[in-house]
Amino acid sequence: MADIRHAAEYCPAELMAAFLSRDIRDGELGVFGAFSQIPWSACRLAQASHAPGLWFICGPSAAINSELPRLMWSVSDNRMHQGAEGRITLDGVMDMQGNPTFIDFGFYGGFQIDKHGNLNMAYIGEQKKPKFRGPGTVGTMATAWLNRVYLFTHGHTPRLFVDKVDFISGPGFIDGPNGRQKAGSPARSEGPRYIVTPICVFDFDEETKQARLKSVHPGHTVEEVKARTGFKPIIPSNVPQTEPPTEEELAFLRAFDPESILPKLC
Amino acid sequence: MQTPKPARRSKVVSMEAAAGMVKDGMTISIGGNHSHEAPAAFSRELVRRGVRDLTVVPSNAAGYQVDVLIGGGCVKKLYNSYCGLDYIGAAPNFRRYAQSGRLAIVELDEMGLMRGLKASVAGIAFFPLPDGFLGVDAWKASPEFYRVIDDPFTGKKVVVVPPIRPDVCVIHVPRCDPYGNAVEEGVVDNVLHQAANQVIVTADEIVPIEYTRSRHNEVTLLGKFVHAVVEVPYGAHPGQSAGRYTHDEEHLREYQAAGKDDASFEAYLRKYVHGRNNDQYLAAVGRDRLQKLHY
Repeated sequence: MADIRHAAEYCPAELMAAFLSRDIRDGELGVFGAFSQIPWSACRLAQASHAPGLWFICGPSAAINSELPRLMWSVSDNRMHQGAEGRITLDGVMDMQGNPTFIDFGFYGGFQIDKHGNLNMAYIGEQKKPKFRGPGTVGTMATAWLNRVYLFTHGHTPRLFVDKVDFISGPGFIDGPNGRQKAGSPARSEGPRYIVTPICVFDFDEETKQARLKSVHPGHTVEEVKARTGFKPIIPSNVPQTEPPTEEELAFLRAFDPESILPKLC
Repeated sequence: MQTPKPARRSKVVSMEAAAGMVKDGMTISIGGNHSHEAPAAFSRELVRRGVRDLTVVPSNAAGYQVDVLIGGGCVKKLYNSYCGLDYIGAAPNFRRYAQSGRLAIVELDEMGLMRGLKASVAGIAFFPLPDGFLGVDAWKASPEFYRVIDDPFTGKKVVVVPPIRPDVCVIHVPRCDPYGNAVEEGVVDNVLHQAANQVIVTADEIVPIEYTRSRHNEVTLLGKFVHAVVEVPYGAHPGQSAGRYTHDEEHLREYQAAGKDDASFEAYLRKYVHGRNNDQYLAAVGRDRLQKLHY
């Protein structure tokens, strides 16, 4: 087996894309929404390495398996249809999203994410006159029933990672271990698997369904994660480093991103 | 004496005539998913005409085409799944009007919105949402829209939405024939227009019926549903029109900055909207800039 050589210099978004791509399995179908350059890169990297039979839907343009050879700022750009294998109607995207037997995984974010992996895209304060108005729930409601959910963020601040979101747009484990069950989520829907940020990865404790520090990216520390997180994550006694991108992974990502969009994201 | 046979009636009308179909207080739906084929020029025309008290039903992910109506003072209530400017950030008037309590928002998500429209298309009383929707807070925030009922088959709780039937729907396509048939080359939305009572189509270019006949397998918008067709070059600007031009990032950033308060947005409207028809708008944007958007 060839030696795996890790890249020495890379940006956080490149590490995040590499991490996510390794978790994707061959033959699955994934979906992502707007402002999703990291998920898009992860899907293309997975296809180029271990998952040649992966399917991915770019929600905002409804193109399937786009072969557009370069990242763009807008994933709703119609050029996503270049080299696509098909497209589905908006209505069809909804039906697929609503049925957990079709879609294996999706990528989501919000302006608030809490310790149970719930996310908020709607508002803070009173609905009729909110203190902060976000864009709206849009497709994040699908975390209620999709098989597997990856949460990702472009930042890591106490304002983003809060103890309890003000509004649940995308349900994580809601209020704890039985939260999803009480809300009627299908049994096969696992809930959020990871929260991938520019400085660390959280997973969820099996008992409490609370965010647990899984790994810290090279160059960052457990103390820094604690200081920059508004909720109290579970911190195991031994927190490993996140595996950086390999030279091969990074070479793919750099070739896929000639405009250097990934380095500008976080 | 023989009476002359009637000719097939073209649906092509002027922008003014089409916009005149939208009256104060109406419920209108507006196409465009993110920057895809939004009838932006039509929205500017409604602002110009000073239409008031609209209830607006956008597609899943609305942007400029809805935000400019809010900033233009045309909107009373918004059915909102998403209003934003994609990677550029917040839709400025939407955020500002919501935060100052000047905009009533029905708190939706793309599933509830789409299924409300589908209930209208299908002519059914309501449409259920998938299991697990109880965990989404939208139904608690807008109880006037949703109902939680017992599933008559399983007895489980299920969230349902009522039909959404707008008075008028406005959509944009790159090309349309005079009878309203079109190929949606980007995102295909076969629900929004079928859910409304009347449909207006704006198109960058009106093409002859022969164009439609040469690719009838690709037609996604049937003219049967369409009441008016308007030719509007760059009618989706600053959004994109599939296969013709991409979105105008520079203009959207100027727009977003202008939306920071009433005074600066008024200046934007004076520069680009009030007293300007579409040709004058395009001149204000600059022909060179428009040329750069082609790919």
